[in-house]
Formats: sequence, C-alpha cells, structure tokens
Amino acid sequence: MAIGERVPMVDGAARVDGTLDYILNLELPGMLHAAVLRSPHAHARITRIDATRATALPGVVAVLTGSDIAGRTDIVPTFGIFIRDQSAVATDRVRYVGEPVAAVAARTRSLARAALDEIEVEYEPLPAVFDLEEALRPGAPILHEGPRLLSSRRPDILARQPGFEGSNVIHLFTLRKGDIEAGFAEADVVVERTWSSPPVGHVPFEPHVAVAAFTADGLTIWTSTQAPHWISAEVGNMVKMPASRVRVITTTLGGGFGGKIDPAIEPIVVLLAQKARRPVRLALDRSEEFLTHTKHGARIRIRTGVTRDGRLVAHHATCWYNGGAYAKETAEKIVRGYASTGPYRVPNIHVDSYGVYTNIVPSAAFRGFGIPQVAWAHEQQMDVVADAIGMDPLELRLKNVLLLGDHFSTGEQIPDDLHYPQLLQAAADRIGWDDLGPVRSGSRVRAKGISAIIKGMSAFPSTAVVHLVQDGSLRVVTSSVEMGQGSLTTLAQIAADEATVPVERVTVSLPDTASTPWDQMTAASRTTNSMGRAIRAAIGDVKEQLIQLAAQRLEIAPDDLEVADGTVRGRGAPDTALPFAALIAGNRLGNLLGHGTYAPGIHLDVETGQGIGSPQWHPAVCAAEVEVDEETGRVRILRLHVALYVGRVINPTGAELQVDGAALFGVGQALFEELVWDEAGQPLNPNLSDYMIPSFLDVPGELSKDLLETPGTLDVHGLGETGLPGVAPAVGNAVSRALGIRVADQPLTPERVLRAIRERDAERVAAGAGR
Amino acid sequence: MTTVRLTVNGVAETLQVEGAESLAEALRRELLLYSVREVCSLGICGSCTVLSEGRTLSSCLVLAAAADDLAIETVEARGTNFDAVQQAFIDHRAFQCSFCTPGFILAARAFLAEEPHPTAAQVREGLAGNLCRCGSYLKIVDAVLDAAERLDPARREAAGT
Repeated sequence: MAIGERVPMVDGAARVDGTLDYILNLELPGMLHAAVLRSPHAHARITRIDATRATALPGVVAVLTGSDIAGRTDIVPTFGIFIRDQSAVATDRVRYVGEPVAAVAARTRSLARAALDEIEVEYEPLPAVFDLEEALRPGAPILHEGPRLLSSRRPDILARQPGFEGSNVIHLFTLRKGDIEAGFAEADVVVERTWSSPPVGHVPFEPHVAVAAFTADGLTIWTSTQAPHWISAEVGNMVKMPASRVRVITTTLGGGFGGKIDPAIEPIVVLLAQKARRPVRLALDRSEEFLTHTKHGARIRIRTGVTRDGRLVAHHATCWYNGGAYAKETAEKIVRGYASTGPYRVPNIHVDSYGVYTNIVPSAAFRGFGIPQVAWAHEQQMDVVADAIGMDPLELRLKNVLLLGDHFSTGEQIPDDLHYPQLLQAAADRIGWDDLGPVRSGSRVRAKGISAIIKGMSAFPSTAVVHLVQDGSLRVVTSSVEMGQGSLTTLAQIAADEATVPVERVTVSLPDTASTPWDQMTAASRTTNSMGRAIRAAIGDVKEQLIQLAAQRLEIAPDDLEVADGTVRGRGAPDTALPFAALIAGNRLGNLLGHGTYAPGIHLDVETGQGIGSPQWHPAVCAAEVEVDEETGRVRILRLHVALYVGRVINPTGAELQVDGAALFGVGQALFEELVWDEAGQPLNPNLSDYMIPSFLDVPGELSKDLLETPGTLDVHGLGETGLPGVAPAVGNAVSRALGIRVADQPLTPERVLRAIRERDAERVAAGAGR
Repeated sequence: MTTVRLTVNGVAETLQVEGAESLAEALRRELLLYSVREVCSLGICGSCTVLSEGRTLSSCLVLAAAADDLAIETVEARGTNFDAVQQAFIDHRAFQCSFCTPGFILAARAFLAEEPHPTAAQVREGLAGNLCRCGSYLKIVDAVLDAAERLDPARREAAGT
C-alpha cells in the first residue's frame, strides 16, 4: 500500500502556478539587501581597506569588512566542517578570484551594489598555484600557513591531523590491502594511466539566498540550504550562541546538487544583520554562483596488474582532489579514493588520496560526492586493461565484479546482493553488445561502451517525530529538505505504509530547526533510506502506544493485537477494530507522539582504510552508443542506458525523474561542462552563455533505464546520484572504440576530441612514412 | 525611478522601476509575480519567460523602464484554473525543483498554439530555448504531447467534453 505507487507530488499545483514557496520570495518588514565585493586577485594580501565613503552613502546601513571580524572575541572568526579556515569575508588575505572581501547592507539591492564601488581596497599580489601536482611540490606558494584550527566534529577523519602544516595538503586518505608488491609480481600485464576531470558548476536555478534576523530570543536564518541543522550548528559556533537559539528555516529549494550544504553566504548575512541591527537578505547572481562552490576537479593515476586470463590482482592509485582555496568537505571527499578500484574484487590495493589547496573557487559536495572523478578513471582503465589482454570489456567486468559475499577495497563484505551481473547483462542487451562498432558512415563513426560503478551512502543520523493527531491523521516532522526530488511525497508514502493509513492522511513538514529534529543533510542519496527508516521507527513507537491503549480497551493481550487499515484489532478479528481516532479520543490524549532515529555507524582505519565505508552500497551500470564526427570532433550520444539496483522503488515517477536527472548531469560532464580559468586564475566562463548545461538538444535520442528491485524488501537504496558517475566513462569508452584513441581528460569537447584525432592521424602518417 | 504603464495578466498596472532593472526583476519586486525567475540574465535559459501577444519573451532581457504599453501574461493569470498544459505538467510530474516550470509552461503554450499536433522530436526542438537543470526533459515531452491531445478539439468532441 502506497509503496511503489505513482503518487502525484503533494505540492504539484504550486509548481505550475508560480506559488511554490522558495526562500528567494521571502520579504521581511525592514529587510535590507546585501551585495558582496569580491577579490580580483587569485592570491593577494589585503594591505588597506577603507569603507568610509561607502558607509556614508544614503541608504547604506552597514558595511562588513575583515576588520569587523579579525580580532573579535565575541565571535569565532572562522568556520569549516573539518578545518576552520574560512571567514565570512576575507580578513587579511584573499585566496581566489571572487572571494568575498566586503559586504554592504542597504535599503535596496541597487544601492548596495552601487556602494561596492566606493569601498577602497589595496592588494599586494602573491604568487598563486592552480595545478594539483604543482601545489604539492617544494617551493609552491602555500595557501594556509601555520597551525590549523580543527573542528571537533569528525575525529574519525581528522585523526591524521595535525601533520600537513606548511603544505597545501588539506588532508590525506590512505588505503592498504593485501600485498601490493606481490600483486604486481603475480600480474602478467601492468597498465598505468592518468585521468583527469575538471571542476564543474552545480548551477542550481535558484541561487544561494539567505535572510538573517536577530530577535530578542535569538537568531533566525531563512536559507536555501540542504543542511539546516548543520548551518545552525556552524553559525551558532561562529556567533557563540547555542545552536538551539539559532533557528534555521528552509522552504522548498530550486535545486541544490550538493552546492547548498557548506555554509557560504549565511555567515555574511548573519554578521551584516548583527551590525545593521536589521534583517538582511543576500541572493547571489548567476556569476557569483559560479564563484561560490564547485565540484572537485581531480587527477587520478592508476596502475593495474592483471593476469593473462583477466583476474585483477593489483591496484595502485594516487588521487588528487582539488579542494580550491578552502577545505570545506574535502577531507571526507578524498575518502572516496577507496572506490578508485571500481566495483571489483581486487586482493592487493594501495591508494593515496590527497585533498589539495589551490587558488581557485572552493570545492564543495557535488552530486556523486567524489565517485564521478574515480569512475571516469577506473572504468576507462578497465577498457584499457581489457584491450591489453585482448579480452572483451564486458567479460573482464563480469569476471571481476563484486558478488554477494565478496570483499570490497575497504575489506568489508558486501552486505546485500548488488546484482552486478544482472545489471551488466541488462545494459549490454539493451545497447546490443554483439555489435560494438566502430561503424563508419562518411566522417561519422558509431561505437558503444559500458561502465560499472559503486557508490556508498554517507552514514549520518536522521531523526523523525510523528504526531498522530486526534482525527487519526499523521503529521510527520523532519528536517529533510524538499529540493525537487519529491521527499515530501516519498516520505509521506513511507509513513502511510508504516502507519497503514492512506497517503492523503499524512503531512510531512518542511525544516525549521526550532521544531523539526536533527537530520545531518539532504544529500548523498540518503533521505529515502535513512529518513525513511527514522520515520518507520517513529511510527513504530506510536503503534506500540496504540496497541497498549487498545489492549486495555479490548482486553486482548498486546501480542494478539495488530495494526491494520488505520485501526488496531485482534489478530484475525476484524470486527474488534478500533480506529486510531477512537483510541486517542477515547483516552482523552489529544495526540500520540512518536520519535525515531536511524544512526548507522561506519569506521575506516586511519592507516589502512579498512573497515566499514558505508551502511549500504549503490550499484549502477551504464551503456552508451555514440556517434563521433571525425571532421568536427563532435560527440553525440545516440543511446544511453542506465541500470540500477535500488532495493525497492517508493515512487516510480520520482525514481525515473531522479535517474534521468542524474544521467543528464552525467551527459553534461561527459561532453561539455567544465569551469576554466586563465593563467592568472581569472574565471573564463562564469555564466550560462560560456558554461553550458544540458538542453533538450543534448538529451540522447534514446535514454532508458532499468530499476532492478527485490519485491517486498524494506532495504530501500537511494538513487539520486547513482545514475551519474557511469555516464562519462561509458561515453569515453564508446568514443575510444570509435576512434581507436583515448582522451584522458574530461569532458570530451569537440576541441579535445579533434586534437586527439589529429594526433592519431599524424602518428599514423609518421608510422606509414617510417615503414 | 521611472513610471511604466503596462498590462499584466489583463490588468492595467503602473510600476515604479529603477533605471537598470530588468522587467523580470520589476515584476517580482513591484507585482510579487514570483513565477518570473531570472536565472541566467542572458536570455538563454527561459526561466523568466512571459507571454506577450502569445509569443514568448525573455523578461530578463527587457529593460523595465522600456516596457511601457506591453501586454504580458504569466502563469499567475489563470490562478488555480489550470489549463491543459499546467494540468498535464502536474499529471506527468514534468518537474523536479520546478524553478524552470512556469517558463516551460508558457513556452509550451506558445509552442502548441503554433504546432497543435507535434511529434516528440518537435517538442524537443520547439522547447530547446528553455533549460531544466534537474533534467526533467523526458517527462516534459510526455506532458506537452498529452496537453496537445487534451487541447485537440476533435478528440475533445469525441470524448464528449
């Protein structure tokens, strides 16, 4: 009941008539508007800053500069989930082009913007570093000297700190399994390649927007965030207020994709509101959105040892994730180096995964959380390995892919059947694996490729409260964020199923940290699973109370009672059924309250990376057919198929939308999405004209999916990200098969592909001449 | 401040607009029409689409001060009296975060007026001026094709409605 049904989105009407409640629409009485002055330098010392003239302008109420932050003892000047290295605006130094240097609160947005021109700033430029490996060389400019301020929240990950002071290493994750030397000794063939993927933009259509207001009883922040409680905790720490007095309210988001988790603009509006003693609103414009958070660019070097018969025996990988100018979540992101093996059984593994400071926009979480970077590498590496031993790429994958009971790179036994062989076979059948190409027609060449990926689910606590109100309807109170994925609807379906009531009798709250309980964040494909479990536990709590009440009323032992159809009744005795409403009213209780928690544990050893990496694993296989025009270098994806194992689908329409969305994120990243900077660190494409996102014209002619389920299971697998990471390598493998060459750098833009074709042709000519 | 007179959703309105303000900004600020959403500010994404004489207009590209005498329509015009396109978007769940949805609905209305019996390929081509970052494109095609069927007079007659 309710599970597996195409229940319409509960707020569907508001989505078509313009009334959906976004933070962007919020107006408060007396509210001021903010604008941000940003650094023109990639790395510089601020030698002088003077806001006197700006402050004196009519309509300007407050100007925030570094001197309002540095040296204050009533606030903590820095924030950061792992390393507190960032402040609301720069204090003495800027580390990337676009870093906030000052902020103005004025009566209107245009007055605030005009005031920015009147702030005088003098800089002393410093040498900057942008390349990952250069940043780690001796003598490289160092972004953050001196001791690091560690946040206390994740001792498991930070056990390696301190130790990286004086370098640009944000953090290091290491994994050691088996005997790597013995592994390579056993190998018949060794392949080493280096792959790279660039920073890309989240591009949520609703930008970052926040309003902060101090009141007699505390601080309230309305913000478009995926992590209301985290913002409450971070900001509370910054302004030295108990988190319980920092109320964070979030309505519906116009997209997040991982970019709205770390605090970014909230510290600015809070300090401005404090100084102005008025509510302050800041909404970023599109170019500022590109200067706030990106996906981690990465370089992944893999050496693979394989036997002649296709057994993977050794995997040596170095991963460099580009954290940009501030640490944010990088220390956790790099842990995903554990998945650089892909979803394969490899006995001997050695991984070093670095997070690196460079002078570009700070990296944040991004849909896929570190997996797309390693997937681009390991899945093309698999095809290179297959070619090296003359084996079909599908056969090589089938031979090595993780099966139930196998051990992953982290040493943990895969706890449930991920169905990889079925997924591989389904995708291969769908794309037509007997006919891989290349097939040439004029200058156009068609070919096919496949990939398999594995992604974990972040192990954060989720908690839920339910009110069974007096008419027997259910109010579910959580801090899950509705950001378009349909959580309000999906969680209502889960609650309806557990409570045995129609879904129309369930309401799910939006987050308000003053009244909705802790949830770490709506991210990491975790809400349906983790909040779903918390809600089931909370309803279980209520059901126990209902059974106790019914036991007294019916004089039947609790063990002989059951909850069904919104009633409690004797087992096999439907005529004894008491509706929930009757039980509550009959006992003059007003309502029944239940609470539930889901808090999975994970732990990876600091030295070996062995332990439990995720409470649940998400598998996907992608298959693509592409057509490459050898004259223009243009790649078109003709067909794309995504196969996932999902446990059980709660809402098929919502699931299809999320898989389509993830696949299209993959298409953009495969073919054209890439943020670029010039040699001085100036962003070259921070707008939607020069930075393209997929349009209707980029949707593959055929985009299909298999969502494999286990009937009846309660082990729901998240699917918001799983369809993404495999797309780019499947396309890369198809392009390679079409052209007979490998493009190591993502995305496969026409320029990059054409250059590779020309190099190939030049080599062929040279080889011909030498013969 | 400049005074601008225009017709919005059938009502004569007088707006006080700032010099450099776009029509999209002015519609939100002065008339609280929150369906009008400036995303790219370059006329590329279609999220700020309004209809003017049945044709789509990127309101982020129109200077509010130069909008005198325009007659424009937004999705707020119909209130909750949804047309076939809006109803089809709900029924097919042709959205995720929905920030782009009003623009798509208006673009689809204008498109269907020009092309009442489109193929899926024509829908893709015809709505290529609107972007959806969540990637709900396949459901949008389903919704627009369904709306075309609902709007088809012959079919409506056959169904007795």
